[in-house]
Amino acid sequence: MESGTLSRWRMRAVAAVMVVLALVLVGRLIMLQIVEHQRHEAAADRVWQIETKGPRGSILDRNGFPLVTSVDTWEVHVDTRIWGRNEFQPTSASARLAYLLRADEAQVLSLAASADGNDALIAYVQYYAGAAIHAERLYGVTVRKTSSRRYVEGEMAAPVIGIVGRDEQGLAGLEYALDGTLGGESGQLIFERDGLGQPIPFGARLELPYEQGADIVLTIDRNLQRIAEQALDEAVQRWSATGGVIIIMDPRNGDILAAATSPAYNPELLDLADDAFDISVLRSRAASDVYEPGSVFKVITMAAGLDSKIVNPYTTFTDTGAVVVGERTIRNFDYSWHGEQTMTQVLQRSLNTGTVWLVQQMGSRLFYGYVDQFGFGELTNSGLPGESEGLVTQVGDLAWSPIQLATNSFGQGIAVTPMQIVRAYSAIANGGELVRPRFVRAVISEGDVREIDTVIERRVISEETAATLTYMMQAVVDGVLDHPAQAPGWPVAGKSGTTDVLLNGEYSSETSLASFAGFAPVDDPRIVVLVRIDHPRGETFGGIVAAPVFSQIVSRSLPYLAVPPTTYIAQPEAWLTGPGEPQGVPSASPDDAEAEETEQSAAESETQSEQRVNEVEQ
Amino acid sequence: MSTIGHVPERAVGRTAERTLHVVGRRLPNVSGLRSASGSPDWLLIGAVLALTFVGLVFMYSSSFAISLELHGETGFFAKRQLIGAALGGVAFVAFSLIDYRVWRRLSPLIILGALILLVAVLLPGIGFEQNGARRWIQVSSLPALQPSEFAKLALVIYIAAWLASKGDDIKRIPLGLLPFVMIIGFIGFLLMAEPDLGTFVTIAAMGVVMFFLAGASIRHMLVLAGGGISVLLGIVFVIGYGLERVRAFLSAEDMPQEGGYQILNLVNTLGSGGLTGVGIGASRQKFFYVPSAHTDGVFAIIGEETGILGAIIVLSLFALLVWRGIRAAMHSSDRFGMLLAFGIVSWIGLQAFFNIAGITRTIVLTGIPLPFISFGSSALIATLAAAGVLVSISRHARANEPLPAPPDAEAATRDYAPAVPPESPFDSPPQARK
Repeated sequence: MESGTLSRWRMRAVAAVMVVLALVLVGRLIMLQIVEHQRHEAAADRVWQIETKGPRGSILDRNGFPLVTSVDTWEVHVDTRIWGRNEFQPTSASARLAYLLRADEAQVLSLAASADGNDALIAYVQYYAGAAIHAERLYGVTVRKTSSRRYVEGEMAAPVIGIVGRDEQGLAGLEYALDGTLGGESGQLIFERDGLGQPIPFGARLELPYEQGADIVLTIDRNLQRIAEQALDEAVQRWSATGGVIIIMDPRNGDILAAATSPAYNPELLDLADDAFDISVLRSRAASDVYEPGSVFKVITMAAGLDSKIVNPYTTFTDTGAVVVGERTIRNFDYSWHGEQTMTQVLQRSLNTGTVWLVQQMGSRLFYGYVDQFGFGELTNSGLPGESEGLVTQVGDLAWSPIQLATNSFGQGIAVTPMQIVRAYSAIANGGELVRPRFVRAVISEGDVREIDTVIERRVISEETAATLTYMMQAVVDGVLDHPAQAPGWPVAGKSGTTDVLLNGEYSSETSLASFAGFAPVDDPRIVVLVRIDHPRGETFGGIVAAPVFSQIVSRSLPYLAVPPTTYIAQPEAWLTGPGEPQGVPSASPDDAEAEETEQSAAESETQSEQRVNEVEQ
Repeated sequence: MSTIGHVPERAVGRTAERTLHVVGRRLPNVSGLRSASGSPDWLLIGAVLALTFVGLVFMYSSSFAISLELHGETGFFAKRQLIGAALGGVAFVAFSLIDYRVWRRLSPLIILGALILLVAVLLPGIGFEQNGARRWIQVSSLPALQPSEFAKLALVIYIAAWLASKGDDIKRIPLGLLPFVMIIGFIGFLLMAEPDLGTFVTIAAMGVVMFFLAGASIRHMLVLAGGGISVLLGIVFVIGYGLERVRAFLSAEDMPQEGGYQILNLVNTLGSGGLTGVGIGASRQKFFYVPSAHTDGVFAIIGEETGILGAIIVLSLFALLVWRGIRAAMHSSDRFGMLLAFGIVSWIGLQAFFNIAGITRTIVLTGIPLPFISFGSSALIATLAAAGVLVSISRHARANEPLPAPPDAEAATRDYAPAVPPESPFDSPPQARK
């Protein structure tokens, strides 16, 4: 069967085919490696760029106690391209990842599938959980260090501090307003990554460093904030109110020591994705929500009258119980009439007829001039986002009328923010200078402390006017027997307000915004406090609803601020001496007032005490 | 052989030749045949050793990333390949020394053994499945065995023996084409049951080359080509096996997320090597961009790290092996040796072609490993054994080839070996080097 050797031509043919095949490969190699080299090199793109961010700055209270800080956490990412390729997934990375995340594998897969592009953000995890995932080096899974906010004091000052989003971008409150300072500058990390998304060992790497965010020292004092929040919560609960505001400000430098608003929220539990979530709670109500201040504003009217020397505390007018302005008759809140009354009594008894008489004496130009000077209708620049200017109609505006002037004098028909009231009252408390309220005391950037200076906007009233007015405001509280705003141990000055609110298109007598603004101690005011309780049930008057809260705050705050109490006890009789010399003004010690007490005032005091319910006015 | 290069090569070979001869004498005298031959082809041996060495270097380079990822050490795959190379080296030396004609007699036993292994791999409990294919036999804790690699060696011996025994009968359908198709078809059936299309394609191509060389009628060759193409198309489009790869080959850019990713990465990896490459060990794409960087994709890493220079050198080593193999075949004195040498050459050469052509996107990517270089101990051992057979054939061919006139008479008496009578290679063992 053997037939010797094989056919030569067939062997040569096979050899020739081999040569051709080899040449084809050489040709392809030249094509790919020489001709198209650049293109393939560019296409083999392994360079990856990620944004790096330093930890967001902390927010500290005025004494350096942290309110909000950032802690290291991890973002878990999945490269969907790698998960799409099976050969690099010998063990099921998705199942393992789901186990580590205590989640359902289907859930993890659907998150990965729903991602835009190749990079799917699967979860945020705590430090140790992330480190565990990192250690497993699952296919296509990368963990990136990030940080998240921790609210050391829980809900405290949440509406002021605000919130951040998942990416630590400020969304509300000071977090939003100071986002650039807190967040710093992001850097970049550019590296060669392998097919699984990890950096290639010894691969090219370029890091553009980030700039770390600065820490912010607030003017808020966590203890005073706690006092304010507790007092507000108690009052809101007691009166079944819908909400409220308490602001404590240092009149000397504008520091907001506390700013409590209700309703508030817990930033740890906030779920922005929840449809039922009412986004309005995120507003910085203290600066953004306007209201009609009511009788609290009478102090401003009185300041204008005193500073322009139209009246003094003993100037009298005759209260007939009603003033007709245009087509409208303005009455006192309780439809009472008192005959001849001093300006001090106008404040004490909160006589609408008195302030209307006063603005009519002053004229609109003078009155609105002072309203502007006190900063109404103008931003306070407190630093809270979304601040409102309020609304003050001026002579010449379409909405203005003589009725407007008359109602403005007792705080109706004018819209202000709580922050504006506090600022105006601070001007009275500090001797006449309008100081800018501020929330930030200092910025600490890499150990470098930059203090924020107090800004004095302007002088509004003379020191003398301020002193006189303070005395009159003290008469409102301390000059009335058992006024609920009194804080035994400290002389206080203040004024209540009751804002009628529209209910179904009509001013309702059932509900109101009950407020009280004042400061203490009178001789060297350390705190200006505004308390506003919204829609209390059962009672509407600021003097009954808000004044006790004011008293509570003063009594708790001043000891904390190391202002020692004295044996001071309010002496209502001292303010009932009628026309004569002002009794010692702020520096006037209660003892002096007592010394000048007359028989007449003693007699009158009995009548006063019978009327005290009325005097504790709206 | 030309005069140039002949003398030094011959001189170099002498010592080793004597050694081989001595060793050869000590081997069992299988069926009365003792190694009786001329000196081996040192260029062939050089090509084999160089390819094995290159393979080990790039095994470490291409596999360390995945080794580290999967096994926590960089040398996991390289170590196993080194063990494979050591065993393969033993096989290479042994098969070089054993007279290849032994295999002709043993061919029925060899093919039987291969078929047993190919069937065994399909049995649960013996063969185990990985990545959707049953290709490995694992018995207790012994190293896993890939029968299809040894089947290639068995089949090339069997087909060579079978074709050698045919004369002009090969041109007759019942005696030539039909049995050939049945042999290839049956082996193909077993391989596709794993499935292992790559090995099947290699075996089929190798078989067709041998069938053609054995003198098959051109008409039958055309029928075979038509039939082969139909079977391939059937496998791809009717069974659907490999359809994704065909689509990826044709339009990888349109499907970068699916199969296109593989081929694009392979081409980009190779292409980014440029003229001289990024340096040995410095490949970036081996970090999980190139699919199977240490197995089927290793040539892309070679191209990336050493550029076209290194790629052409590797290509040249294969070419050298093929050239020397064909040369040995053409100088072989018997049909079996010729067919066997051509079979082995076309196996290694075509397998390398299919691999590199797939990576360069010249043909569809088939998942065929690169001989000598891709990871796989079974493959390396079988390939080195086959190369050993080739060397054995070359030794006998050397004994046959007419040498040019010796420089002097003394040299002639010393070096000149008379040709073995071509008509009786088996009946009377060659006595030339006695």
